[in-house]
Amino acid sequence: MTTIERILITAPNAAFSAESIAGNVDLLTQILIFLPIKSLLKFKSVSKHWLSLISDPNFYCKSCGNPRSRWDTYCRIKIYSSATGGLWRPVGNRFSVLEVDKLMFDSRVFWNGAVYWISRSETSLRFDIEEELLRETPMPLIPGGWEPSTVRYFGESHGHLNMINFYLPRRIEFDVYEIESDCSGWFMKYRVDLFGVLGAFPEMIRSYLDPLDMDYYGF
Amino acid sequence: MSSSSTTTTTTRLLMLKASDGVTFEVEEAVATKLGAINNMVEEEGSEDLICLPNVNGKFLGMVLEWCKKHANNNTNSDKGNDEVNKWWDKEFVMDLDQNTLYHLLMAADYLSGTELVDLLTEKVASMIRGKKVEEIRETFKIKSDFLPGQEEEIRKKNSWAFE
Repeated sequence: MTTIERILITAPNAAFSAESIAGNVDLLTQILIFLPIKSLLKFKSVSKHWLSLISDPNFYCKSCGNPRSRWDTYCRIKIYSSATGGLWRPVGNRFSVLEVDKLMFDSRVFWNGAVYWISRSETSLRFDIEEELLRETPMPLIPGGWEPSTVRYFGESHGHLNMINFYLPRRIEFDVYEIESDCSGWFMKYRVDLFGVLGAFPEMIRSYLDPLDMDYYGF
Repeated sequence: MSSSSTTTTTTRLLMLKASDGVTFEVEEAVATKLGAINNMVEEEGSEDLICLPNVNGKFLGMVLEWCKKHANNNTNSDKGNDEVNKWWDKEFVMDLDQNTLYHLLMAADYLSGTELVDLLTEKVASMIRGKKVEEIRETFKIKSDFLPGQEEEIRKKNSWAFE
């Protein structure tokens, strides 16, 4: 039996890396289209190539024509009150969130007259219900040399707002944070190291990676 | 590779061979989600084996996994498909590390998987949008080629973006 064989040949086989993507004008343009305007203006100073791409009037046409462009990602807060006849009343202006996909709108806690959200970026938001104002809250600083992993707890406890953060690479240690009374930031209340406990309870170590919490430690 | 049981019509199978020799047997309806494969099939009709020297087995496998999901979802013709695809796309890109993401993007581009390229470029954008200029240069190995003072001037003009 004869086998017909065909080979798909396009551009010479480049080293696959971030470098080759930035060198591919089509791909780079498409990436830039998804960026908010603020990032684009900032990235004009990356290099002459980026400057010319972003400054090209055709680039803006492409961007506006793309339904998936992020240029108009705005958020708006509405307040529901039974006193206003069961209507959602918009509050303030629309605002754009630079890292909207890092802000976890699903994780929110009402504490001390404001709704708090957490974020995977350096700053998060809170909305003061009384003043009807949106404010930024810095997230806890990540300890040097560590990578953020997950926020395992975010909630009110005995009148304080707390957050428990896990970091990579060592998941047997975690930090408990509490928000400053003036909401200016978080301070570390405890650093918990369960390493010593492992010796006493070796069953805490799983032989598999639990898909629910992506962790080898069961606690 | 098992075939989907959602369709009863017999579908033709294509053999795809990656750069490292790994081969995949894929239904035509799945592989033709990739523009490059679609063109080859339409032009020639009956290849037994398509060699893809610019993509290795790992990333070809991931690309095909994506195609398969989308091909399967599209055969069920109810309205919820868009939602299912979106949800699945989100899952697909969620935990990709930077290196895998860039390799996949190059693979999707090579195979003309337009929809997948869209999805991946959007993911790259979401990863770089908050970065500093210096971090962008580091990520993409770009050297600033501005003359002294030029960069300063551009930054000044767009100063609000740096706040």
